[in-house]
Amino acid sequence: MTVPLLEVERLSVEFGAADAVLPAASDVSFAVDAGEVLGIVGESGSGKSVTALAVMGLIDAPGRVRAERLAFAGRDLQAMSERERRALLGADIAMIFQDPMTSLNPSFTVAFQLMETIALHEGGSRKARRARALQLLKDVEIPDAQLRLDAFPHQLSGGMSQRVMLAMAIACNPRLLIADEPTTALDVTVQAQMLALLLRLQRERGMALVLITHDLGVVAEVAQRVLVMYAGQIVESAAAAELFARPRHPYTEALLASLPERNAGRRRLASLPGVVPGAFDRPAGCLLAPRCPYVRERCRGERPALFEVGASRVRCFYPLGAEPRA
Amino acid sequence: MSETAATPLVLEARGLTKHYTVSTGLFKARASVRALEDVALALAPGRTLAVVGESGCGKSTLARQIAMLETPTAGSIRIDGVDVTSTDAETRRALRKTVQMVFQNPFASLNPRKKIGLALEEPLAINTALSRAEREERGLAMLARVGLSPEHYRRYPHMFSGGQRQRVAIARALMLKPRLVIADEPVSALDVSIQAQVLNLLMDLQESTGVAYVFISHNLAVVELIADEVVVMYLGRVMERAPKAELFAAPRHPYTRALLASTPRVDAARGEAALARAAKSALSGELPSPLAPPSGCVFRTRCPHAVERCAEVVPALEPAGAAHAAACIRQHEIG
Amino acid sequence: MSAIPPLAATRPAAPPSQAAELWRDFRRNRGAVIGLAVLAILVFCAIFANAIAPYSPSEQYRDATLARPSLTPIGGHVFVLGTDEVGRDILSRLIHGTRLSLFIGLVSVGLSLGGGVLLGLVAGFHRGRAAEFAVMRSMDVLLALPSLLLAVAVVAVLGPGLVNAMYAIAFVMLPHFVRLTRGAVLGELAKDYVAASRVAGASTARLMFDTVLPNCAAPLIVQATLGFSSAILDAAALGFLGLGAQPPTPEWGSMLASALEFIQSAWWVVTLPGLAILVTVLAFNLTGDGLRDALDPKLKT
Repeated sequence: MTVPLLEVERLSVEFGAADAVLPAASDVSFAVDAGEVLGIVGESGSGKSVTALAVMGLIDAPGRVRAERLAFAGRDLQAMSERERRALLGADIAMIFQDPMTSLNPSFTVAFQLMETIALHEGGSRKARRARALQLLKDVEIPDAQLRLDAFPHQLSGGMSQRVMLAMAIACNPRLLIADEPTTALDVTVQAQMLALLLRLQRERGMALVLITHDLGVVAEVAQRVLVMYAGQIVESAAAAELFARPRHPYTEALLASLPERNAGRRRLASLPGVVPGAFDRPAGCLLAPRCPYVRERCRGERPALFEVGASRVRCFYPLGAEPRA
Repeated sequence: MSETAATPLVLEARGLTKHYTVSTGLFKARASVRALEDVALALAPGRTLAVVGESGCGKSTLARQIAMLETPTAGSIRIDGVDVTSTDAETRRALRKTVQMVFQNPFASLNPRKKIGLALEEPLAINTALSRAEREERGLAMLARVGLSPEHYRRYPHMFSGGQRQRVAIARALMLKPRLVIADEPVSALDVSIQAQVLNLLMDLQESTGVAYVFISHNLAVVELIADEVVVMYLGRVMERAPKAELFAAPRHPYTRALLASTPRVDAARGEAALARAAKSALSGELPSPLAPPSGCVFRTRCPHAVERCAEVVPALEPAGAAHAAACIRQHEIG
Repeated sequence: MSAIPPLAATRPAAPPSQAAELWRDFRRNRGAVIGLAVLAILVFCAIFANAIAPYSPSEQYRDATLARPSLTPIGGHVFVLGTDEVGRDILSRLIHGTRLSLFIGLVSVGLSLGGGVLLGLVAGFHRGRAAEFAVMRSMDVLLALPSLLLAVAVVAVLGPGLVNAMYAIAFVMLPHFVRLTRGAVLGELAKDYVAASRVAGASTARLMFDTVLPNCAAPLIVQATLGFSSAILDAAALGFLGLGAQPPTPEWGSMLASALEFIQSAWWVVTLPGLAILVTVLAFNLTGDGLRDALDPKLKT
């Protein structure tokens, strides 16, 4: 049995003062295999971005990160020194972010930033690095790559900047790429191109891809497995086809039911009342209990763990279409 | 678009054009950004007109012209029959009661230093002679109508979530009982489950008050749900105009088709190969700069069906069915 | 897999008010809290000067001129901080001087803030038009002149005296408030809530004072706090030059001026007023910095 590329067990991230703790992520456990595409879906406050940042080690004080196990390719990330971890980031694990306009340094050219990344992890002569940079731009399908090499970020459009960021991320052939809302800030026509590009690169380089987004349509097109997060916890983990056809958790069901495309021909959209709990109104029992249409007594008093339902995992005492869990 | 004498249109725009002059450098000549070019619209009372397009299409500029925040460079806008582009300030001020607006970003559209109750009362304080108590009564009533409780009346915006703020913004827009509300991407910044709540609210309010909406959005799935008629814009021009069902069933303009093909759908997931094909055939290239739009048809630089003639002629909106028009010289040739 | 045992029901705390949040953020900065404490002491001294000061600030004790600071009485009086060259108790003069310094700060900053905000609003709302041009270029001219020289020039025109010194200081500080207000106004004007008020039909006056100005408060408050300290310094400088407060007014700057010759022989006559100025200015600066950090939304998680 091969070791999963990324193992996360019982990760929790907290912010805030001792008297007003905000659990941005709690009890998050999942694994990513080499070459797999995992989608993490959730709305605001779900903790999806925070989880990715915690894995990358990018959560600064006053945030507190704790995990039972955090391992990459079998190596314990928490046991590593700062230097070792930094050597890993950018080389084996890379990340791209939502807003390309603020992710690139506006004072330096594209070539400079690309070559800097290459120099940090691979080295080589200036000429060789520049040639590599040009090749990378072509790999991410930037038209007129030669011209764009010497452009500044403000001269590029959103879609182009995102491709440059992608080029920087794949420069050192990472084994895992984490993409945090990579298409949210893009126009829908550019979005389609970006998704196709991500999938192609993923397949060609055998990279594992973790795609974080709130857009269920994007996940449906791209992911093999999906994690659904709510208020900092994973509430359902399943194969993509299974999740969209037969959601097991009431939240997943409600989320899918409120999509405009699933309400075609109806006068009103099905919608879940209420809002996601914040720092000050977290329920004692299941976090969805105040809003859940299937809520029962047990749900209000106890917090459910992540139970197995077939090949999926569901955080619910009464998973849909299955036997209630003890 | 001619209307029958029976119901006067609540909004009618003809030849609407807006150019902005910008400086291109210290000693260079000033350039002109063609934000809107020859746009025509019509909206009947109680109906929803969706304006669809991506960044740079001019939809926000259009919103500002109709809301009378700016004056167009050319063309006319008639609100409830009154031509606002050629009347005096007095009449325009009176028309404030007829046209109101809901903005995209719920975190920026409410005054952070004003309690929401006072924000709701502001339109009444400016435009009516109601007493303090009467204003408060109406404010509380409207707040209840959008699903918030009276205890929220004296709170500041930062205590509310995005969805709640957007409800307050909608309530504020309706305080003067307008006939037309321009909703500029009202749900784009909200989570999916909150989007559903706010869209339901908008539709409920339309049913009970008979208000007409100009609904601006880039999200075709939302548009399919809420619109009666749809206008598709690209680089400041109208590409296609049709009743909703027809636009989605039989789009004529290549840009509309590309938009529909690119929208990710949960139930029509395609997988990598199909995605790649769709991406390639849909659109190539980048959005041209609005400072120098392409000659002839502005879409031709990215259109998969462009021919030489497209660069010579600016296509007019030609009929493609009942109440359906597309600005493409080849619309009948492409399958 | 067993479920996690149920947690005790969490008490849903109401979110803190804006003032409470501000105080909590301010409290975290030790320096700022110390500054505020010192300011509180100064204000107390100013208000209750008559009660606290052991002696009258202008009473001359001829038999105890240039007395050293000590606890041993001279001729029945104890001069804790010594006396100056005509026998006035320095401690009493310093305490009464607090009243003057705070008064100077309040009036100068008040005048400057009021005028600066008005001009800044006008400039911000009339972007690209003659009014903005007139205001901003005038401010540029004022900024081009060295501030102290400008203050001296104004006092020279108006005549020496504490009140005229305050006008001069207010005049010199004006461009800073105008620029700050205009910058803040331009930033806020681009936001949607201003457009929303315009769509509701708000007039320019309402937009200026009711909509935009309350949102520009934060940088103005910080600048005002820091302006206090610079006003006190300027007043001290003018006093030092003999253009501000006239004797026997116990203003710290003029106390310094009249005592320079004693710097070798009677160090306390010079040093103590100087220290008073230092402590006050430091207190204002620390408080202003703390306020800025507490009000800056970017520093919040």
